[in-house]
Amino acid sequence: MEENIFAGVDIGSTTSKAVLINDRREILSYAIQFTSFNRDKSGQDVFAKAMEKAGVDRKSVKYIVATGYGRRSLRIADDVVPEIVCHGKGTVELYPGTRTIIDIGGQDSKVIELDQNGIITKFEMNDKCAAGTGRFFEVLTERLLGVSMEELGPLSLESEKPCVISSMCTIFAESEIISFLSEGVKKEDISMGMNLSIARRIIAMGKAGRIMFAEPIVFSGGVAKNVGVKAAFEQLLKKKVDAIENPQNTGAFGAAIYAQGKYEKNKAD
Amino acid sequence: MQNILKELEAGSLDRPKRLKAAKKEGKKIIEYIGNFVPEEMIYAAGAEPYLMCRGGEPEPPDAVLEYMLRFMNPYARSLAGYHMLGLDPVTPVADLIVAQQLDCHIGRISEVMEYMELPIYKVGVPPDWKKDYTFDYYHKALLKLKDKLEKETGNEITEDKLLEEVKASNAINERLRKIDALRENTECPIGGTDFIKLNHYSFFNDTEYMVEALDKLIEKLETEEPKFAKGTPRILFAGHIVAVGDYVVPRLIEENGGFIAADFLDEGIRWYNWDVPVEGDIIKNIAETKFLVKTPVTLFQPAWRERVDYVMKLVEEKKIDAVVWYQLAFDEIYDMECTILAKNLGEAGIPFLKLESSYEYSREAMGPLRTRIESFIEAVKEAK
Repeated sequence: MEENIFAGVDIGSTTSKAVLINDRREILSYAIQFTSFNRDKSGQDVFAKAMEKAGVDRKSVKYIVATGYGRRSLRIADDVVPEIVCHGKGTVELYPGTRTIIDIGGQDSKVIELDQNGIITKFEMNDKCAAGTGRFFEVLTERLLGVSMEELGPLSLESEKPCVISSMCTIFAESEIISFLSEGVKKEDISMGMNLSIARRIIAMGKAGRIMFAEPIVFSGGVAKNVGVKAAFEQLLKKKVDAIENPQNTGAFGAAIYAQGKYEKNKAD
Repeated sequence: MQNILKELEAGSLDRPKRLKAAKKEGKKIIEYIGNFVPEEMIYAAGAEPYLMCRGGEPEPPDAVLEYMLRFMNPYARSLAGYHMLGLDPVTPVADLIVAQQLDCHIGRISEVMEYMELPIYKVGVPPDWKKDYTFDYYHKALLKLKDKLEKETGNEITEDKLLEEVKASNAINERLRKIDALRENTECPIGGTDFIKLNHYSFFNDTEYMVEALDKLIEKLETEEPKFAKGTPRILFAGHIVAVGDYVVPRLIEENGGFIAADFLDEGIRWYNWDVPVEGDIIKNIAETKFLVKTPVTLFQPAWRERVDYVMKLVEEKKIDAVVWYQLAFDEIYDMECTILAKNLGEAGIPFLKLESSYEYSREAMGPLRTRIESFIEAVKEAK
């Protein structure tokens, strides 16, 4: 019997991701690429890559759910589901029992609270400025500190005296960092200062929405690759924070699970 | 149903034209700001009332920045902003603008209008509503308003005329309550967005015409197909104000799978659940109904207990699945109430979403707003 395949395509502001799963919700393939101005094409391309990786053709994919910032642009999608819900679904499937998700993507950040059944009870998102997002690091890292995004996390863990970056605005934070550099402050301490600044901002955002950061806490999104930011959250929350192994695919994975559910519901109806 | 709504909308849009024609015939045009200014008194004075309540566009709030800081809510700023941009067809012909003075936002914008030499008349509404002297103050403010309207129009506001207008206003309330009652069934032919619009239309269409149109609508709704499916999450839409034209948020709620089954807004909507008694001293009855009987507005102090109790009652009676709180940028008092309400609803297991608007509905702002609403409704559906 032919296996049913379901696809989740997450078209984020910075990257587009696609995940293919089978009936048993096993991940068959995962693809990622930068999102271009043509979000439909980005979604279709990353979906094609995922199919190629899994060695399946279009006909075997029974249902496609699009999520993320550009979800409505994907013309081949059978349905759309907002990314907050997909992140919740995908994370709980991978890490059952998760009560809090901290997700920092390219241009937005979210804190999601779930109940013991994995149902979203509260969420908060920062969507109006780059502070507290992956873009904050992009702007400030390579150009100012001369270190790559990959090096930033391990470098910051070597900090002995993290500096205090008080500016919430990316542009003002840039000026602050330039001042620290000109004063001879170590890059390690500036990096950790950046991590703490972003973590402080996101914790405050969550608390403003009455999110109590119950454990287990899972950290996802591109910034979760930065071990320094994870450490900053643990330091400030005084709680354990688990960074997801493939932090960028939870939204697409959640969308694929929705695709499966919707396909089965339609079939039953 | 849609035809009746379209006719009422056309009647509302046509109101400025009718007002100009009435002015040519010697009638006075009186604009008013806020529900504490009784339009019944304006009608009883033989004048034509016009509620200043437009909003939902980004340019008018910015137009007043020449005169004030931006830390005023966008609705208040829009009141003068539309006029400054030449987009307000009524203010240039208004003989009087009666503005309730309850909060600093409307207070400051009234000052700006005064500075612009617009004919502002202020009606004081003290927020300490539980103190005896504050009710007396508001009651006296309405008596003074009566004198002012009589002087302005040259017409006496008799008890009979005022009684007639109060009865007409109660008749509109009664019909709105009937339509509201239909929302008790989720498989309902009319949503909350249209219900809010109906409220708006009731401010701008002639009273008699409005009553007739609502009767026709009620008849039509009895046979109309349901707009919402069984199981659609029932939303209580609460907060400050949905200004005329500011329909993005309620529309998004209903487009994305929610049903606004009840509302609890302070302004921009008729206080249709609270009729003014028609026996005895009518002005006193109006004052008592608005100031003491109706569930207090957020700006009254202290009002949180009564308001939280009322919301919890609505949640229970209207079988509400979730609450969406809608406030405007720089509405600090609403911010404070929102926290208390969220806590109480959280303890009762009712999902709560706070949305804040600065009337900035650009493409970039709409994406996250839609995501918030969609995610919230999706989560409510999953929890059901």
